[in-house]
Amino acid sequence: MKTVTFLTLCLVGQAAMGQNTPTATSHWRTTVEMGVQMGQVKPDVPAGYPYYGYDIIYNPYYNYNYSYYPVRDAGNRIGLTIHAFTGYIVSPQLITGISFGVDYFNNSAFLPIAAAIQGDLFGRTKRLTPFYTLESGYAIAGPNPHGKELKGGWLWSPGVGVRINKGNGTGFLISAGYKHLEAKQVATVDGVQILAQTEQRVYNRLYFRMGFSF
Amino acid sequence: MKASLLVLLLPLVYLTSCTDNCERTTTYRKYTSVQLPISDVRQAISSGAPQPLIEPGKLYVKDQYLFIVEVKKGIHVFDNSNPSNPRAISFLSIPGNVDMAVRDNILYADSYVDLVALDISNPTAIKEVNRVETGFINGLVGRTYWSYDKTSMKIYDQREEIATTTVKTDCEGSFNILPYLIPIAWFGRYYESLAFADVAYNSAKAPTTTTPTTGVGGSMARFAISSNQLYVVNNSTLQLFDITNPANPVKGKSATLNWNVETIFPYRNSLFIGTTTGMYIYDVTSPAEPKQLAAFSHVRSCDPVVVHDNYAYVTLRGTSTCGVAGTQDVLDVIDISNLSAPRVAKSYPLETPYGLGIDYPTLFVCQGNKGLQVFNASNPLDLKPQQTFANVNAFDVIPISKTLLTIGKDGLYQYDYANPADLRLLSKIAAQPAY
Repeated sequence: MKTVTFLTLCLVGQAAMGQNTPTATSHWRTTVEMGVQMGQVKPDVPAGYPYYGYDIIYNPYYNYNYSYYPVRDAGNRIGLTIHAFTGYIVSPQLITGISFGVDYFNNSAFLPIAAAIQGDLFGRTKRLTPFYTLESGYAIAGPNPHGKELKGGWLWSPGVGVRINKGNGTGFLISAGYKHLEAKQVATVDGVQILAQTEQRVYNRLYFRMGFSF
Repeated sequence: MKASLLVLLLPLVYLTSCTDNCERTTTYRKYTSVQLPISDVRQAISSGAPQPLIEPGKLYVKDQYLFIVEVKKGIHVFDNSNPSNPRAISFLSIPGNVDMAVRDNILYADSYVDLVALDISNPTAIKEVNRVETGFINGLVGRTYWSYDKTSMKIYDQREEIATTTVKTDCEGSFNILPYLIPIAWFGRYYESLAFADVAYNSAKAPTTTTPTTGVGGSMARFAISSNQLYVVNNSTLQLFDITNPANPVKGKSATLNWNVETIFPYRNSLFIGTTTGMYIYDVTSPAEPKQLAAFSHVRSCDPVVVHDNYAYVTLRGTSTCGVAGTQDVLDVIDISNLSAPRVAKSYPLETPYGLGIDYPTLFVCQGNKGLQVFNASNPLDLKPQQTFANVNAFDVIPISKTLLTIGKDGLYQYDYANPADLRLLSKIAAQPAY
């Protein structure tokens, strides 16, 4: 619910911003895109170890393939990405602004907020205009199975795309790129047998998005 | 323009991988099996050079000497003639040692299956004079368990250490519940959603193996000397040794105790045995023939006991390995004017109480990490807190001739309590915890 509210507010804000200035001579550009992001994961290891009982000794190099511990295979992951950007047009080749959205990685969602630049490639603005985008910022942990244990982290994401201009300052976008996002899970532990557990996460994804700009 | 384009595309070249990199770092207690031939354990014991305190255990005071157990390793001997400046004399290497007691010039210490008698008349040159079997063939020390196998003549023990391991994971964490099952399965997951159900189902079963076993912590063997008898308690047995001739302890009767025994406290003609589920009172008017007077049961918790006059002070610590979840931490004052019918006179809530000591009218209660609390116990039914030391770690305490000795994870502290309302720190022997 929080996510939905957040997104709605973002969109309303952008729409309001877009309407404040006449479209023909607008100094602002807003893009809204949606798509998928794809990546791979390594195989998972047992979640725990059988340290209780007197003569079972834990050996981290031994693969305890007990039925109660999930050992997930390596595989492909695909998740939803929603992305919005609002920026000031310094020149058609350089639009500076901020971006935000929602990204789903495996079973955890993140809300990235980043400083972003966009701009047209090859100098001229035509009906079919290639553009670049580059952003770096912080991802806030969103809905996830670990709740407050999961902390967000730094992200950066470059990409390229094509804008099909409609002629009145609006356009249709197709873009692709890369996303690197870091996060950390500080797990709750029993404090007796397991004293601390931290998972450093680095998500690497390729994304494909479609949307529109105004 | 071409150059700037190149600069923009360079990061893309760098993107060689779309694989998540996740590393889980876990710090845990690691137990390693150790086998000790009994012949190694039975090497003659003699004093060695002083060693730093690492994991201090029980504390014992005899005249001006101070004995501190290094859990399962041996005993540190200190000359404490000047409590402001205790001086390390020697270290006795005794495998499997957890407890001790002194009669005259003889120090009794346990060493796995044996009771060792050591001559301490010259503390700089302590030597072994005798050794008898206790009859105990297994025991719990802290979180580790040892046992003795007669046929292979070996002690099977565990070494506990803190270890860290880092493993690569699939970035999905370990979890028990999935509150966002539906939206995430819809948006964020590619592979079959049954994996969730499987994980949730299996992790629900897992606690049968991952709940800490109760009764492991704090149940060390305990020693007490009353008249000519040495009483040694194991988890469930009270074993007597006749020490009429101190250098030659003779194994005597034994009594079976049904509860996990934690402490033994001799007072006048009685023995008070604190267990995880209650307190036994034994009459030792005839020392070699202890008679059970009462078994006073309470909720399951850790409970050292001390006695003064008609009142026994028992601390119950629920929040630990020997308690059950939700048990309250209290200090109980038990009326024992009738030894065969003890009853709780008053209960005081107290955070994580460990060992305690009384030098009437002052009562000292250790609170582990929470420090040490001093009470005025002139009226046991109305204990008045006098002073609190929050910054010490204390699990056992001995008040002796206006000097208070407290032992904890960070070492031994000595206080002057000539004025019980204002304890003065005399000295500290710092421990260097292994972790």
